[in-house]
Amino acid sequence: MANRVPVDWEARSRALYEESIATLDLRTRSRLTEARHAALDAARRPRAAVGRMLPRWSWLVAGVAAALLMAVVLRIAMPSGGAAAGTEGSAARAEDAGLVASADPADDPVRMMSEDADFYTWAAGVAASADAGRTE
Amino acid sequence: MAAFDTLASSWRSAEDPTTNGEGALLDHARQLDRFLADVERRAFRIAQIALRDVDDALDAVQDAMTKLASRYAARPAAEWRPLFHRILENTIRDVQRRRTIRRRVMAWVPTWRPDDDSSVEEPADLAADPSPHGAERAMHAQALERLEESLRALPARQRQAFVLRNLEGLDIAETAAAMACSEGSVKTHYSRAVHALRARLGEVW
Repeated sequence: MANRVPVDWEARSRALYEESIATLDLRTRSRLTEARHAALDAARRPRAAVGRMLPRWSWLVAGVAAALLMAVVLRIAMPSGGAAAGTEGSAARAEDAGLVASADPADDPVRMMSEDADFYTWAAGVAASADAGRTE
Repeated sequence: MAAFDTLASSWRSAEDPTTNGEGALLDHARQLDRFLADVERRAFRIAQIALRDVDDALDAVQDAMTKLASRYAARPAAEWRPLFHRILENTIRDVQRRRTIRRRVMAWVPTWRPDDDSSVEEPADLAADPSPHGAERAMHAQALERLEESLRALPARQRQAFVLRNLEGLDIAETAAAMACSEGSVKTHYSRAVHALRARLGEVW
């Protein structure tokens, strides 16, 4: 407990502390005076009505909400960019389709058969008559 | 006393000629100014011991003064002192917390180095003082430095109890109010602080 501390020990620490306060340099004293005036001025200025009504953490919430709103606005504003991207995408798809369409029909047997049906009908007739000649 | 929440409202009331007792309110505001003037240097030393940085200590004192004036000016003047010390200690703790976070974050930056304590006057600097009292000043500064180092090494609550009880001279009830704890806790923290300080500084310090 406090009464177990030697009086001189306790007193010495206090004396050193008091001396350090008394010998504070002028610059620090002057800055402290300025700080006091600034603090009193700040306290004297009435806060805005909103500032008085809202708790301090509400500003943090408002900041986060503003950031989210900004993100949403940017996302919505993207359609010009997004549409461009979409147009680019559809153009690319159309180009791919063109490439596919302009590919050699011989690569696609179904397409080849549907486009040259007359040829295959004629070829089948020729083959059938040749077979008939051979059997005769 | 008129019901007002802040110094701003008290001053507004004081400036309003239709308000009764404006002189008393203005006195109240002046009383607060005087209180802060009385306590500012001591508060600065408390903050400086804890934070070991002049600028941080000045900021902490200004913050504490602003908070007291903004939020608790309407309280009776007798309550200001423990209230102010409670606010100051919370502010000091906030600064220390911010420093810890900054250190942890900045530790990832390869070129970052922790702040040095170049603003702190070292006893060695004072020893070079050629005046007749130079040696004595150096001895005092050295003893003070040892005391401050030992105080910084204490847990925050013990340091607070020792500073408020022994260095600031608050009684147990005021210290308990400042520390927001029971008087029994104050006695325990103070007792532990004294034992720890004696172990660090020695009986003959």
